Amino acid sequence: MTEIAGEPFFARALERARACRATGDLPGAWRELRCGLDAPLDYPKIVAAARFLENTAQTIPPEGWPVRLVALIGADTLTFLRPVVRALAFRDGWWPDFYEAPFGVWRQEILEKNSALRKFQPEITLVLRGWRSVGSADFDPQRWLADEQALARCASDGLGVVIWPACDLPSESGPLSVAVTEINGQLKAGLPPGMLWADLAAAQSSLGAAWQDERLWKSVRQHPSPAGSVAVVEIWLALLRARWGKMRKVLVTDLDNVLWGGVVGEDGVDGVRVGPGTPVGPAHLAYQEYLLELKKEGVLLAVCSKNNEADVVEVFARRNFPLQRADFTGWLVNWQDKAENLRALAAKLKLGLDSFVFVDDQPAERARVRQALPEVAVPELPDNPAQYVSCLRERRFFDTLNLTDEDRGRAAAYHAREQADQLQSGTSSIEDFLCSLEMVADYGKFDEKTLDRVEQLLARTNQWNLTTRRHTRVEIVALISQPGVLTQWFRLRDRFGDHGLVALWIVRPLDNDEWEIDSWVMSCRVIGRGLEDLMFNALIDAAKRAGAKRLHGVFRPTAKNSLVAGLLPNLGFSEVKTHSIESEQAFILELSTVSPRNHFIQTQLP
Amino acid sequence: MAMTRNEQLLKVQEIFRDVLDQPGLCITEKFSTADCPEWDSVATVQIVLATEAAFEVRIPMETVAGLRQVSELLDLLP
Repeated sequence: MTEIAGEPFFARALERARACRATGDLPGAWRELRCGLDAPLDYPKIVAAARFLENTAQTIPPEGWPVRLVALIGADTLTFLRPVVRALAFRDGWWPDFYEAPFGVWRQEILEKNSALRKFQPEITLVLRGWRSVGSADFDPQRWLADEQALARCASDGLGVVIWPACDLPSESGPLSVAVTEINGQLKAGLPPGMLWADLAAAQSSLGAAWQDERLWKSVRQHPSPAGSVAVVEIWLALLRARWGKMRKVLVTDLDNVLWGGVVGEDGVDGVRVGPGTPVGPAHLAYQEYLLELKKEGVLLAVCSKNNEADVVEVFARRNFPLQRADFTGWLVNWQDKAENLRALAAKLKLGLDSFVFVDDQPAERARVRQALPEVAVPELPDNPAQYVSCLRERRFFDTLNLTDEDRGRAAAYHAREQADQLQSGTSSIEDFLCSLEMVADYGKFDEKTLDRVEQLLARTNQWNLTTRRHTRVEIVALISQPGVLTQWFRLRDRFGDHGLVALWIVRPLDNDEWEIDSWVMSCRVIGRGLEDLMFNALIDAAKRAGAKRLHGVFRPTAKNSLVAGLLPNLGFSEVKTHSIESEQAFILELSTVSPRNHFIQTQLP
Repeated sequence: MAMTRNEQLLKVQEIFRDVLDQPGLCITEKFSTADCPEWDSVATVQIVLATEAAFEVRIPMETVAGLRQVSELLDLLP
C-alpha cells in the first residue's frame, strides 16, 4: 500500500516527534519534525509544528543552529505570520529570534532613531502591508507612493537584510487595483539598492479567492488569509536563501510514474504515458515542461532511477518527449542505492548535497534518502501526479535574486566540463591535460555590466572562497568607488565551451604600501584548471602597479571552503602567528620576492 | 442524536491538546486564557477553525476576538 502524502504523513511525524520529546531525545524530535515539514503543508500543520518547536525549545534553539534576529513589521496583525516563519525557518535550518512591532506603529518604528525596532538591531527585517490598510476613503496614490518610498529609504539603513513587499491586489478590480499595480511597478523600480523585493502577484493569483479571508480580517485583522500567509513566508524565505547563496541548484528526478506515467519495465517503451490521450499523461507532460523551464533558469537536471538502462535510453530515443536525454546533466540509471548514487553525483558535479532536490514517487526511496542524506531536500510528493508541479513550485527551491546569463549557460558549462573530465582520464599527465583544454581567459575591472554576476558569485560561492564575505551590491559599489581598491573578474573558455564569468578578486589598501585580499572566489565549475595561478599573477601585477610592497591575506574557514585552506601558503605567503582573530588564519607576502606562477591559460585582454 | 455538553467538552479537549501541543492537557468549562500562557490569539483562531471543522458548524468570527474561556466556546455549539 502506498503511504498517503500530506495529512497522515505530517501527523505521524509530529506523533513520533512528541514521542522522542517525551523520552528526552531532542535530536530525534527535531529530525522527526523536520521530516514532517517535507509534507505539503497548510496553515494548521505549520502552526502545530511551530507550537511544538516553541514548547520544546522554549527560547533555546536546537544546538548549533544559527540564530538570527528577525523583525516582523507591518500595517496589519503579523502575529499570525510569526509561527509560519518559526516553522519554515526551522525547515531551512535556522532559528529566528523575533521582534514584533506593536500594532499600528510600523512607520514610526522605521523612522525613529531610537525606536524599539532599531534598538533590536535586526539582521533581517520582514515587512508586510496589504491593500486593506491602504485602500481607505481618502486614498491618494501619489502621496502613498511618496510615503512608501521615504519609508523604504529609511528602512534600508540599519535594519539588516530588508524585504519590502509588493502591495497585494484588492479582491475586486477597480481604480484601486489599477493604482496598486502602477505603484508596485514604481516602488520596485525605485527600491533602495540591496533591499529585496517580495513579489506577491503570482502567489495571490494562484490562491485566488483563498488569498484573503473576510471573517478573519473583520475579527482579528488578519490579512492575507492563513493560506496567503504561508505563501508570503515561502517567498520571504526563498529570498533569504537566495541572498545567502543557499538556494537549490540540482533537481534529481525518478522516471517511472514521475517523468512518465507507468513503469517502462512493465508497460514497455511504447506503453509509458506522457501527454494527452490517457488520464495521467497530461500531468507528466506538465512535469516535463516544468523541468525544462527550470533548466532554462540554470537548474541542473539529473535522472536517478532503478531501471534497465537500455529501456530508458530507448524511451528517450523513440518517444517524442519535451525533455531529451541531453537535457540531463546527471544520469544515474542503475539498481544501486539511490543515496549512494546521489553522493557520487554530488562529487562529480562538485556541488554540495545541500543544493539537491530529490523527486521520487516511492515513499521508501524518499525515506532512505532523508535518512542517509539529511542535507538533500526530499519533498513528500502528493499521490496525484497532477499536483507534482504545484507541490514543487510552492517550495520555491530554486528561486534566485535575478537571473543572469551565466545561469542560463550553466548546464552547457557543466556538460562541457564533463567532456573535459573524460578527456582527463584519457591523457597521461595533468599538464598535458590542461594544455589540451586550449583555455583562454579574459579579465577586467568590475563595472556596470558585470555587477550582477559579481554579486551572484560572492553570494553563491561556498567552496573555492577564501574569505566568504557576502558583500551586497551596495557594498560592492561602495568598495569600487574607494581610492586604491582593486577589483578584477575573470572569464574562462576552453575547447568544450564558454564557462562565463567564473572568478574574481577584490584587493584593498590598508595603508601606505600594505594591501589586503578582501575576497577571492572561484566558481566550482572551473576548479582544477590552474585559473588561480593566472589570477594570482594578475593580482600581484595590479598590486605592484598600485604601489604595494606587502600583501596581506586571511583564510576564514567555513564548513565548505577547506578546498582553499592551503591556497595562500602554496602561493608563497607566510603565516602571521600574532593575528588577533582566532577564527581566521592570517598571511603575508613580500611582493619583492614573488615570481609569476606557471599556468596553461592564454590571456586575452578585452 | 445530539451530543451532550460533556461529550462536546471532551471533543473540544482533543482540539486544545492538539493545537496547544499539550498531549496530557485536561480542560474544564472554566479553563481560560489565564490558565494557559500558550493560549494566544493565534491559538484562539486555530481552536475556532478546528472546532468548526470537527462540529461542522460556522462560528461567528466577531466572537473570536473576545473568546477567553472554554464555556464561551461551548455556548457557540449547537
